[in-house]
Parts: sequence; structure tokens; C-alpha cells
Amino acid sequence: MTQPVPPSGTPQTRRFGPVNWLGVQALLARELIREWRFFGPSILGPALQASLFAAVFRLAAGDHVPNLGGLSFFEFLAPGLILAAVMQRAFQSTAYTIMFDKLEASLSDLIGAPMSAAEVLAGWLISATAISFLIGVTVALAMIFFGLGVPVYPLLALYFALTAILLFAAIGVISAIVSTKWDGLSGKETFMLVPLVFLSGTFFPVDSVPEGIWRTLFQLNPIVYYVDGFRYAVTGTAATDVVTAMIVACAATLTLIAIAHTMLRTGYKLKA
Amino acid sequence: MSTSSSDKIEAGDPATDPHSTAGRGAPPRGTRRRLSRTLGPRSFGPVNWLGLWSLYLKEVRRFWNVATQTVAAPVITTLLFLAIFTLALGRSVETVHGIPFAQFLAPGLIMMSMVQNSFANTSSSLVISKIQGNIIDVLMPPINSTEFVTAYAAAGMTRGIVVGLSVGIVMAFFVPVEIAHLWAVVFFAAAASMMLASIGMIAGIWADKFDHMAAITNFVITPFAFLSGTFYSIERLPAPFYEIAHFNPFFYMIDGFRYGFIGQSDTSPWLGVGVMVMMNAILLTVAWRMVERGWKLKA
Repeated sequence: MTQPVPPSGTPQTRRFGPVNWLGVQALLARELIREWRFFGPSILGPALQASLFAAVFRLAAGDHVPNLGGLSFFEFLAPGLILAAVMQRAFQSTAYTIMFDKLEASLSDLIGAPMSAAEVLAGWLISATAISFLIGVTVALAMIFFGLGVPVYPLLALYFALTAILLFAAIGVISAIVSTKWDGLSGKETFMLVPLVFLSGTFFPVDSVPEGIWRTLFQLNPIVYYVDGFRYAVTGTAATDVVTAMIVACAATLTLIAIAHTMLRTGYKLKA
Repeated sequence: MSTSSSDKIEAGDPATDPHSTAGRGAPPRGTRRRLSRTLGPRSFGPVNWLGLWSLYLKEVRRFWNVATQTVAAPVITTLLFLAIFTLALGRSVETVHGIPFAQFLAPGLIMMSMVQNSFANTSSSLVISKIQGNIIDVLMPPINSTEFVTAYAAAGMTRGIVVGLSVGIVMAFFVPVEIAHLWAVVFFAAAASMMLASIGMIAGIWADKFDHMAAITNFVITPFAFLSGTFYSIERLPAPFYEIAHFNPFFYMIDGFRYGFIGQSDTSPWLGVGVMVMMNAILLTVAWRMVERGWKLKA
């Protein structure tokens, strides 16, 4: 069949360099608009939740001051609350949107677009980072209102926050790709993710975990390093070595991003 | 599913049921009278027990079908709360009212999971039905407002109590759970889940979107449940808040429920009984009025 000659000025196949910037930009814009519609109304939810936790812990602790390596209980708690809120939102941000697209079958629009796996992943991760960062700022403002000081090492705090966001955004991508139903996704969230986050030293120090098998299991949880590193950056006091925490955080995040990228590239559970 | 009214009518109707003997030849004695009754509108006494029971079953099956999310998930979440609070505070706060902290905390956590789930059951069911449009299936049948409210409230209570029981049983592996006054445990469990089921009904009827529901859960239910003495004795509260806490109905349910377990409370459990009875009467009436008038339900 002969192709009709297109009139001059009609666009040919779109060409682009090594990176499809237009594609990334379009995906990013779409995701951000959707994130805003999805999560916009509940933007203050995490801040309120964290404030409630702070208030409740404070009241429950009362006059008793737990020994937390020179930190007041609130100073110990607040960075953990910020990071926990950020991590949960980063996960939900990618996982919910991808799951929704997958079940509505509109994910094929994205798979069919001339975008590499890395470009698609970048679009998702950047939009998740933006919204989670915003959540982190609202929670941090609430905590500062309650008396948390300004971070001691702001850049380091940013480093741990960003690696944590990217880690959980990547976990969100992986979970959404692996799950076939909403049930599966929310199961992964409730039974794996929330326990990992809550039991990562967000709310209590390492040495309150009973010695032995529990302590070992606790330290195998990589999220412990993110929380501890972030706490060090905010308060200047840490339980573990900060350099180790930085390395573990970087390695874990890169590994999970690589897994997510491989899944997208091979089309695992996405392409026929 | 074969007990729905249309099936019953068709079974005896010669026009639609080829196996019916009623249309062929002379009907056996007594059939005619029975036939005329089945073809007319179904009649029932002052209460449509079948309708009530069917609606209740529908609501229970709705959450039971996804029991991982509606029963197992709250159990895990509550255990996490127990873990983080005892790990964070267990060493510094050894006793409250002379009771070990974990034992003080356990009844509050059980109650919190119960109220959250009773609320979630009625509210999410109504909002989903409204958004999907199948609320009409509940509004059309000959079920009056009282039956409607009773079935929804009972199903909400069922979920609350199922979750509470599961949480309690699992918790008993970690914390010694002893019951000092069984009547208080039973009464406050039932009254609290009924109250939250009614609030859920009211909220579900009011809400137009899931966002509204999320807002109520985030900004009303969770703060009330958190700040009502689940995690601390309200004696800890500074001056104005201590008095304000006594106006929080959630405080009485948690305090009374805890009294059932540890035998000690911040206020008299009988005051709690009074508050619960009154709140339930008010809220059920409000819910009933809403359903009766069809506010946001009927055109």
C-alpha cells in the first residue's frame, strides 16, 4: 500500500535526541496535576496526624523523661514523624497512580509512548518527590510550631529525605507492578510497609528493643538508617555512624530504583 | 440469594414458571388461596424481619469478603501501636494507676480499633453505594427507616466487635489481658460500636465524595479517638484540657471499657453508661430522621 505523500508542513515521526525531554515533561505535568487532584484535599492530613502523635506521646510520657541520648522526647520523635509521613506519602504517590492506571488500562498509553523505561520512571519518581517533599515541609512546619529546632545540618537532612522519598517511590512502583488488585496493594502497604516504617526507630531508640534476635532483626531493617541519619541531620545526635547511614541509604535506594527500572524495561506484568 | 422477593413471586406464577403445576388443569385444593397471596404485594407484620435480616447479612458480607483489609489490617495496625508505645515509653512510664503501662494501653487500643472500624463500616458502605448508584437497591425494597438504621447499625457493630475480639485475642499473647468487670466490657463494646456506627451512618449520608469521608476520619474521628485517654490517663492533662476532656464522649467509652479490664477508671463507669445511652439515643434518632426524610438519599 502506497503511503499518501504528506503535505508539506505535516509533522513526520517525531524525532528527539538521546532523551525524550518532551515526553518526560508531559508525563511529569500529568502526574503532578493528578497528584494534586488525588492528594490535594488531604494535604494537611499527615501534618495533623503527626501533631496528634506528638501530642499523645508527650502526654503519655508525662514527667518521665526517657533517656534518649541527650535529646528531649519530642526532639527525638519529631524527625521520625516527619520522615514517616514523607515515606508513606512517597509510596502512596507512585503506587496508587500506577495501580489506578493499570486497572483502568490507561497504562498502555504510557507503555505505547516513545519513552524509555528510565524516562517513565523518572517522570513518576520526580512527581512523587515533589508531592512528598511538600508533605514533609507541612509536617516539619507543624513540628517546628510545637517546638522543634531548625535542622542542624540542612543539606544532610535533605539528602536523607530525598533518598527516603526515592526509596519509597521506587517501592511504590514495584508494588503496583507486582499487585494485580487493590487488595494486594493495600495488603503490601498494611502488612509490610507500615510495620517496616513504624518499627524502624521512628518512635523509639534502638536500645529499647530487647537484646538478641529482636535487636538483630531491627538492625536488618534498612529504614533504620534513613531514620537515624535524618534524626542526626536534624538534631545533631545519632545512634549509629552517619557515614554508614549515608552509604546504606544510597545503596538501598539505588538498588530499589534499579529493580523498578528493570521491571519497567522488561515489561514484567505490564506488557503482554 | 434465592430468597429475594422476585424469586418467590415467580416460583408460584404460572406465567413465568413452566414447572408450576398451578396453571395446568385444576389447581389442587388450597393452591388458589396461596397463589393469590403470593401474587399480591408481600405482606408482613409490623417488622419486615426478612428485609432487616437480608440487609444486615448484605452489610456483614460486604466487609467479610475483604476480611484481610477490614479485620486483619486493623489487628496488625493496633499491634504496631502497642509495640511502638510500649517500646518508646515502657521503660520510663512503668505504671499508670498502678497498672503496668502495656496493660493500661491494651483496652484503649482495643476500643480504638473497634470504634474506627464500626465507623468505617457504615460510612464507607453508604458512600460507595451512593457513588456507585446502588443505594437505590436498599431504598426501594419495603424496608422502613427503622429497619434500615437497625440493619446498618447492627452490621457496623458486628464489624467493630469482630475486630475488637480479634485484636483482644491477638493481644493476649503479648500482654496479660484480665477482665475485672465483664458487664462493663460487653456494655461499652456494644455501646461504643453502636455509637460510631450511627456517626458513620450520618457521615455516610452527608458525604458526597470519598474526600469528605477521608476528611471526617482524619480531622474528627482520629483526633477524638487519639485524644480521649487511649494512651494516657486524662489526669495528665493540664487545666483547661482536663475539663474539656470530660465533654468528649469518646473519653467515657474508653474509660468505661478500661474499667471493665483493669477495674479502675478516671470517672465513675456509671456516668459513662449514662453518657453512652444518651449519645446513642441522640445519634440513632438523628440517623433515623435523615433516612426517614431521605436527606441526600432520595430525590
